[in-house]
Amino acid sequence: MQPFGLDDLDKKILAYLQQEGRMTFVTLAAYLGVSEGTIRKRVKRLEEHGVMKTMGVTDPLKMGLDTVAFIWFKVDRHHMDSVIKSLNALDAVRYLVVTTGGHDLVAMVVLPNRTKLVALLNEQLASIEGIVSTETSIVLQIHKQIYDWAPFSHCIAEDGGQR
Amino acid sequence: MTGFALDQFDRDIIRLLQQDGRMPFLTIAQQLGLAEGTVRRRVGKLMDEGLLKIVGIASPFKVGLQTVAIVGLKVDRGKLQPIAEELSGLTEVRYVALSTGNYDLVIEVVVGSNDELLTFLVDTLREIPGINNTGTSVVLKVAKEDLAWDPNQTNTSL
Repeated sequence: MQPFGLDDLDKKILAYLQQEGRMTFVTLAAYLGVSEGTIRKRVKRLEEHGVMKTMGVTDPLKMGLDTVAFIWFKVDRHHMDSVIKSLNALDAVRYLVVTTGGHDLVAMVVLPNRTKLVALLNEQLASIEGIVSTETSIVLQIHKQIYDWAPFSHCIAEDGGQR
Repeated sequence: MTGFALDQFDRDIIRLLQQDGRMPFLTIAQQLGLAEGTVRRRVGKLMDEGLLKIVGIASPFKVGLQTVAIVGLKVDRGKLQPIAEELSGLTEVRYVALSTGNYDLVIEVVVGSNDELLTFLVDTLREIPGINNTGTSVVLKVAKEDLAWDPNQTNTSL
């Protein structure tokens, strides 16, 4: 995937919204010295190109979804596409990546309890053709989970430090 | 778990904000049959309790962070917490979880290039005493990323 051509204004908008997703466009416009309409257009463009999405995020373990696990998969090459498709369709699978290394796929699953995890492993995954083996790590505690990974905070730090 | 008990309205508010973090409070209020002020207060409370954050989330690949890797670590038992803390302090680490199974810790690393990943694995991790073994899976493609898990599907609902 090619990086999206972000200019300085895009980066500043991202830097603010990563910290405070509901910051009003009026406030952003005032911080950045452009019109509200400009901010609105830029945010829309970032969203339409999949560069940024604003959403409410929670820690599933604090929400009563008691079982978070990482599952590492070895997959029969011939079935790679169909396995991805099948895993994608599972509601419990919230994050699925194709990887290099000792495994072919890694999934993060979120479930209400351990019983559901057992059912996922023994029934749902067992019925997907092409999965050779799995290894499961149950998450006991989420120590860090951040969303402001785009390294643009320096873009606004020099703007007078409104934050 | 915190001592804060979520009720059905909280869960519904969270569900809507997971879909669109900028959904106007008035729209949420109308959908749930609440007053706008009530929605505003509840969102404020959920955020104060640390149960909800509303953030703009960038796609790493689209903002020039070309290398994402999931790394499993085996560590000295007695050093689990300090190592988790040290890893959490690193800017390139976006996720740290303590886990059972093959690995004691699972982390996700986001960096600008494969070279930077190499530096992280070889130099940065070497500086942290107690890490015995790592397994690195470099992400070639994200097939699914959906952080909007259903807040209604909880342990108590079964």
